[in-house]
Amino acid sequence: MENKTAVADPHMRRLVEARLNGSGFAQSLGVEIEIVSPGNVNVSLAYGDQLSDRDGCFHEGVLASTASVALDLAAGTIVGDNAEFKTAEYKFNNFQPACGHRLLAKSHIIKSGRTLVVAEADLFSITTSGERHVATVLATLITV
Amino acid sequence: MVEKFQAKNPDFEAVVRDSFARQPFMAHVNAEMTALAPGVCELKTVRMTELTQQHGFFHGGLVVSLADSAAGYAAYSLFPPSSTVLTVDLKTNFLNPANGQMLKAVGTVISEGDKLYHVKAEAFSIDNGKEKLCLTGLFTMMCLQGKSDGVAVDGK
Repeated sequence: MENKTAVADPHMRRLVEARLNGSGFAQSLGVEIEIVSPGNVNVSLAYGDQLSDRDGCFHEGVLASTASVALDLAAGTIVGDNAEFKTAEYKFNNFQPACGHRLLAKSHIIKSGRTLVVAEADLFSITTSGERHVATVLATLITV
Repeated sequence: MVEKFQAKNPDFEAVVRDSFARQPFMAHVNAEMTALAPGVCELKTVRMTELTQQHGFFHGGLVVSLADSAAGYAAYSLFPPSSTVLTVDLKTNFLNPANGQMLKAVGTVISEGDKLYHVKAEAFSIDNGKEKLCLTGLFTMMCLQGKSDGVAVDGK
């Protein structure tokens, strides 16, 4: 896969954390940063009843939101920490209910152009028996 | 190729290749099935003027068509016997112009259910052996059990 990756920056994680801290919505979900590298950010959050659907699993809206947060953070590692993005469009494929004590989103920049950034995110529910791939997102972000 | 899934039909390869051979449109664009494994399908076609758009690149509609067929047959390779496949939805992102001499599409199943299969497909433009990713897409395929994979009668 083709990746336009920036030079690894020792401050990258701190910049991504600052970016996350600037989002009140991401904070309200309880999103935490796991792994940061150029073009890749993994985030996760803990299950809570306020995030649940009627089946006691994560609500699909939480999955979409978590993916959106992860995609924005990954794009920030490529384009620059001051860059602002909006999601131009995305497609969300949901495979199975996201039941578990945590939700993990792994985002990856596929291509970064002058205006548009194409990125994907995979969502996993985490249980005591391991990770389950529950959904995937393919998105276009636009620099604003 | 990494085989993540197991075929339910021991004759999957013959079934998939037979279905592909019966697609007039794929024959029309000279597409060939160059690799097949459970959950993975690769198709290739060589550049012809008739397949290009005004800049001389492979036409975007063709790139999507090849990716769609690769995705569909990747899913079909995992279907039970006596079933057929139809695309439910697709979304693609064009990443680079497909301006090479050859076009390759690879479909890879991400998730399988009873009826719906989620498939990732990528298309590569190939020039002098160098591959360039030109399209990525997400597809949903439906498994229609008990339906013929032959020509539909009265639209059924």
